[in-house]
Amino acid sequence: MLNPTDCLEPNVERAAGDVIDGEAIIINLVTGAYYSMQGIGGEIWSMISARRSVGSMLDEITAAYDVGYDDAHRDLDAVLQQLLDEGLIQRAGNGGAVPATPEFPVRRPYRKPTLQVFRDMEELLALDPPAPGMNQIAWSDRGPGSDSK
Amino acid sequence: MNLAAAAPEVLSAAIAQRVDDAIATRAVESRRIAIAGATIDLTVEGELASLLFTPFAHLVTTADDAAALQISVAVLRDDAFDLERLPDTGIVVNDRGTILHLQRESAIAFDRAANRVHALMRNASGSGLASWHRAKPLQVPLSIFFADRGIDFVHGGLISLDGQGLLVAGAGGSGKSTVSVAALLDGFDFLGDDCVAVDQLRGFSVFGSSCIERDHLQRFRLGRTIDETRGDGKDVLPLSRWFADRLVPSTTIRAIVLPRVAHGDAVTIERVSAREALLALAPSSILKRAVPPAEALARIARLVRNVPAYRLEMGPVDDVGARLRTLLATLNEEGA
Repeated sequence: MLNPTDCLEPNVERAAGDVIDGEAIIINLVTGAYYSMQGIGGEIWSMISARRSVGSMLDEITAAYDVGYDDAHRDLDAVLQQLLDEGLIQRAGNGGAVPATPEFPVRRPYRKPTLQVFRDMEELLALDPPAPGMNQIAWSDRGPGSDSK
Repeated sequence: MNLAAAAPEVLSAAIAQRVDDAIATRAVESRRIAIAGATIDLTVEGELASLLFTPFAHLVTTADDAAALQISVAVLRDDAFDLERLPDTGIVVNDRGTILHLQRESAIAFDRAANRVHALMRNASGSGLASWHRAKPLQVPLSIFFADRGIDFVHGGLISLDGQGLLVAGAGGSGKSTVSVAALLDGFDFLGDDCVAVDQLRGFSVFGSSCIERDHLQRFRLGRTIDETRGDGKDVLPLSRWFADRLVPSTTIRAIVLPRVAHGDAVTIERVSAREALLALAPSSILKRAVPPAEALARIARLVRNVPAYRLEMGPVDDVGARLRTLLATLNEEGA
């Protein structure tokens, strides 16, 4: 089980993720699998992206949702282990800034985080693969006129 | 030249030199095209003119501003590079940031800092190029050039009626080409069926040729003879020649359509969530196009939050255009 002091971060070499309608959509850039993290998955992915510690995530989840610490810890640990196993996140050397846990006047209903895996793109990519070496392209080394929007 | 031992810097310099030599000594043709507002000068060795210019014919411009990108293309002759002997065909990046894209059909060097592309390509009539190569030439360097400017090449079709665009999204085999070509035959403007550029809510045409499965092609009453075929099961339709007046350079994306192959009696359309649109559009766009993954995902996520998405269950192809017209009319009534 992960320790409360462990900090995690997206494995940007292997994964790209975003949150939409409270759900995290994550793409495995190596295998072609993609994932939907439902329940409170969107918030968990946002906290991973901020390199929050496991303990800090738990503090926020138990303050915001109607769930006990042990249940929240078990569910969070399970989904983080899945993300680690899929190579989508990694341990971070230093955690990000930990914001003060906000006050939640009313605790919301808890929805266990679950990770759904889609592997249809893996099959399509096996039949029609992208150009080998595409992951070598350095996107931070922009040409002139670059304009991130 | 021993290609197996050549450093990427040596190889990219050799490609540029051979292209420049050919352009200087052989008959060439030039076109100026505009993609997503960027002026691009395309100079090619004469015998490649049809291959290179046909997909971009609808994007020719008379703009006299400075070109944002210069592309020179010469014929890849067997005595120039033996690509089959290359040890690692694909994308190679040299230490100056020049990107090499090496395939059996072509060797392309893209100097990102100088906005300069040199390409050697086999002649279509000589060896018979794969259908995607004829329909979407130079896709990798163009994709990188625009991604550097925050404009993503996405894996989707784009059709438009009265300036209102529908982005047709889905993985391979979902019916993007069928829906896009069906809409074109019904009177829609056409911007692409597989690879288009997206900048926030604006969609741009890149390639005016369609690559479609031969079995699916038989469902259309094209009234044209396909003479550019080869044995990979797909035909390249030179739509920019056939429908010159209805291939347009840009549109505003009003909705996303997610086709699904079905064999019902009618074409049906129903609203789906932004999440479904993202799952249909993002993985294949990010995994198959040369785009910065995290930034492209964030931009595609913004798009699906800002326009509604609909599932289109395929029925008779002749009914597709009418259903899409109804969808756009409904969106206009709702002010969506």
